[in-house]
Amino acid sequence: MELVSKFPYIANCALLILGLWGVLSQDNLFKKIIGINIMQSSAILFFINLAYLNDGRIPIDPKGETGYIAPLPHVLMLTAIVVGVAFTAVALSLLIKINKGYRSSKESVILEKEKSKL
Amino acid sequence: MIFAIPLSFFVGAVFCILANKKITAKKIAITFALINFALCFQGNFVNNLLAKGSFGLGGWTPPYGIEFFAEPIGLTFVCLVSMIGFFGLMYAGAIPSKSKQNNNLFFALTLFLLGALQAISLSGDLFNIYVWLELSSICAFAIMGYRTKEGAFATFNYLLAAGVAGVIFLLGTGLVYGASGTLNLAQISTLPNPGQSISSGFALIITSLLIKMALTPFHFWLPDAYGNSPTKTLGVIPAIVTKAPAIILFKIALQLHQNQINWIAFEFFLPLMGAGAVIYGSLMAVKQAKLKKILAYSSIAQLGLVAIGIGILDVKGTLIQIIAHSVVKFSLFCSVGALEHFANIKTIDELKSTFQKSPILSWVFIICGFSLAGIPPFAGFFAKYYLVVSSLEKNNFFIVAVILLSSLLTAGYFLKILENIVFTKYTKKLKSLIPKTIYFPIVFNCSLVIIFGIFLPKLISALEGLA
Amino acid sequence: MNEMILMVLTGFAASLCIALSKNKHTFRNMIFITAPFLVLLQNITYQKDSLVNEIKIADFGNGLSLAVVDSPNMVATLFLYVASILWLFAAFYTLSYIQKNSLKKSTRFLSLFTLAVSSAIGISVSANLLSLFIFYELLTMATWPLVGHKENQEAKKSARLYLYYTLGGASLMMLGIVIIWKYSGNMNFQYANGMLQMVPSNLQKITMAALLLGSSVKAAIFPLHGWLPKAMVAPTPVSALLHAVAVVKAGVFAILIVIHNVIGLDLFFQSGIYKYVLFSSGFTIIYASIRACGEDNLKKRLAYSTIAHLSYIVYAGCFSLLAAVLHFLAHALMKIVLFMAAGIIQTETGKKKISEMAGIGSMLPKTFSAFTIMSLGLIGLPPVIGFVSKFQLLGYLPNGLSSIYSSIFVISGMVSAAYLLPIVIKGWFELSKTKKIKESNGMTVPILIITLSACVLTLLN
Repeated sequence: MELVSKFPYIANCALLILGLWGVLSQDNLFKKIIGINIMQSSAILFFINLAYLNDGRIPIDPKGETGYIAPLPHVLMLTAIVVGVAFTAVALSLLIKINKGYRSSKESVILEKEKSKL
Repeated sequence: MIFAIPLSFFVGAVFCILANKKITAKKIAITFALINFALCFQGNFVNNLLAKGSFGLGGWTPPYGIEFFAEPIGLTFVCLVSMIGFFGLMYAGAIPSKSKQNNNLFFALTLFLLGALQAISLSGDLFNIYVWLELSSICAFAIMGYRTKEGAFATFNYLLAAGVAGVIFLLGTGLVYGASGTLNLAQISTLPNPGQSISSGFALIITSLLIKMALTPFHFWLPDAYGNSPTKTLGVIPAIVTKAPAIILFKIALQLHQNQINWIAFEFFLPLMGAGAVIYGSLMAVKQAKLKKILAYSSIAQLGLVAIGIGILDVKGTLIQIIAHSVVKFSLFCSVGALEHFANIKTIDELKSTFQKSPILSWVFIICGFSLAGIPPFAGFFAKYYLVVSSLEKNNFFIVAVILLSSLLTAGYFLKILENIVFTKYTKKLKSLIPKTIYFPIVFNCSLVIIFGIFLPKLISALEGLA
Repeated sequence: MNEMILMVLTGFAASLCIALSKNKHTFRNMIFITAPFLVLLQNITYQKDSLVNEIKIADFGNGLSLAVVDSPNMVATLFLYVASILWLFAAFYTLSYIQKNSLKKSTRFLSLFTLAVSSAIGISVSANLLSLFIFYELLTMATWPLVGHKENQEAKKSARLYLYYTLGGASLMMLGIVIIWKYSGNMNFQYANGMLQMVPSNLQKITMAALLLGSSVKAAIFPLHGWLPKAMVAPTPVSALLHAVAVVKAGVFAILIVIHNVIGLDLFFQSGIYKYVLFSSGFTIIYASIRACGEDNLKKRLAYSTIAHLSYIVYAGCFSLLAAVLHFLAHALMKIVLFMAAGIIQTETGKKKISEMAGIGSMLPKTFSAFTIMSLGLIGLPPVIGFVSKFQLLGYLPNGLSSIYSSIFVISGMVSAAYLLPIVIKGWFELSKTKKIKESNGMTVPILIITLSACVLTLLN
């Protein structure tokens, strides 16, 4: 099993780690949301990778032939994309509220303000 | 048919958005909550709980279709959500709100949250669980973060944690699906030869559920989030939102037990993390001054007990602990919310005037405090009792010691609260500023603490061995 | 409803009525006095139905239940009688005390007082370990606010200490109960001596230790006795009835039941656990007696004396139930009089320290003579009942008078004299220029009656 043939999965891991790094290390809250988006993309990509078949046909009206890409993961991922969109929407509205309240989107600044309040 | 139960909440959510001045959102919400309550507790309630059946959505049977699977643990949680949801909505309705538009959306989102929580426990399918779990989280974010900026920031942290957890869950599901070709829990549990992919997948799923459940060491989002929640949500969110992942974890544990996937996680790590949560939560609670934060850390500690119960696969103890703790925390959080909103009591020191302003709530604190400490004949005692029995069966003496110690640790942080309430210098009664409508859900739940102490063990015993 | 359940519930109902009575003081006081009357009456007229073994109040499924016995055994009957009779006297005393001292929040005080004694009665008639535990914890909950009643910093600290100690003891007891339930499924006291046999041998010692340690907290055996001297900040009726009669006697009762009904005397001696019990109670007797000599505060001195005498009872319980029971009765009577006298002294003259109590005898002759007589009894001199119990005790010890066991008693007798006689001497013989104060009848009459009956009982033996 060469590593090259696993390339899609490696790309997957890279995206996941990139997203996680973004969530954990970035100061700006907006970039954290982007990080989560990247992580969600990696998860979606994972499912698509599972479904893929080399030289597979598109699974619409296969006329009894086999060798088509598995459709179920694609369907599941449609749902997952929608969930991701809703998630991002809520995250962004929270971010707007935080920005209005603290006048900043940077986590370090907000934590400073919280500490100075205590 | 079973799906009608969450469906009633969803329909109610839609109607709430359309509410106007005459038919307020509050009335719609409570009506639908009543319908849901009636559906859950109809007929021969105990027999309903024992019913097992599956129902494929749209007529498609598994593994092609989404299956709703009803079994005793899930149905118990559905009934619990229904009851607490009903009282939580009553409580939320009693707290006056500032803008009508917000009010409609608030009730709609709360109903949707409750419906999603019920649908989770009826699911038999990993992806279904993922969808409902994410939906419930999104609703929770919305209602927790809309009021103050501190609330918004705390909710944002919760959002990040839950977002990462959701992604991990999805990846885990992907691994399991890729290796086994099915997403259905019942079918996965009967696989003859689970390989490493399935174990890794479930490891990811379990980690994700632990993050959502706020088990030590993943609890970092909980104290701030619960400490800064708006008062209206205090009835609904703290009592049940973290219980849903616990129930799912429990169901997965029982299914996986059949072919021993990931056994070391359950047998070894989960009780250890639960014990850590109990000790850490109680110790941190001692240092806090704000009431809501104390209750948040107390929730961490009590959820640790639930985790111990799941790890040792004890049906009775875990279920009793989940039910008892939900009811107790509901009463406590609602009382604290009422005191903060109407009587301006936010910290322990300010509790000295509680008996003066509201003797009923003082009694609520006393009764719930004793239940948390595990004193008979309240419900908390039987939870600890059965947990100790099961840990003895597994010969895990460290866990036994931790469970017994939890009474002392609870007394450690709750004693200050009780002292300030009972030993007060003031004897004159002030006019009560807290409206009567708030008292009803709190008092009812408090009496449930006592009633459950007497009747619950028998009820749960009937479910034993059927999970 | 069964009569036994009715008797137990009378007290609880009375407590509730008092709590709800708000400002109607006369009504409240009446309930407070009639409750012990009713309970005592029911006690005396109780006809046991010899077919039934235990009567369930609540069933929790799986063999767990809250139940009371139909025909209490010797220890239980004694505890029941002691509690109900002394409750009656204490009730009169308490009402006078409240009035004379203008005790604040008296409704809460009286309601909790009634609740505590009712729980003690519940303990005495429990049919199985779980019921014992439930009433035991109810007792803890009812007495905690009473200890901290004065609500100053010292009272709050003592109450906190008390709760920590008792909750720790409760956890240990729960461990023992759970192990027994798991292996024998039946915690009923009637199936005596059988409970611990079913537990696997590696767990037996742990179970016995857990149960005994758990009950030792309330019975104030060293090193778990620390809460009792601190708890003396409570108002005197609490110290008198609860911490000399109800709470600590409940602890000793639990230990006696555990030794005789749960563990069984054979296993007790076989396994060697008796050595630990004898050693710790023996040590407590000597330690507490010596500590008592050093205390100037009268109530604290009496507290240490209580600790010592409770260990007498436990010590005796290892050898003979009869001797233990006798001292149980004797000590209850004597201590309650001593504490009540201390309360009278404090109320009438405001003095708490022994060094200030010169000439008390001429100020409060009736009270102090009762005090003197009961002190003599505590030391072990005739004609008070204390003499009888000590005598019996010595008779039941192995090897009679000449052994290390009896030497403990002789030594402690001498030390008791050392800590009690100075008070007596100071009170009567040291002169002081104070005048005689009129003693209130409310408080002294109960004391005198009890003292008298103690002497009478001696004669009856």
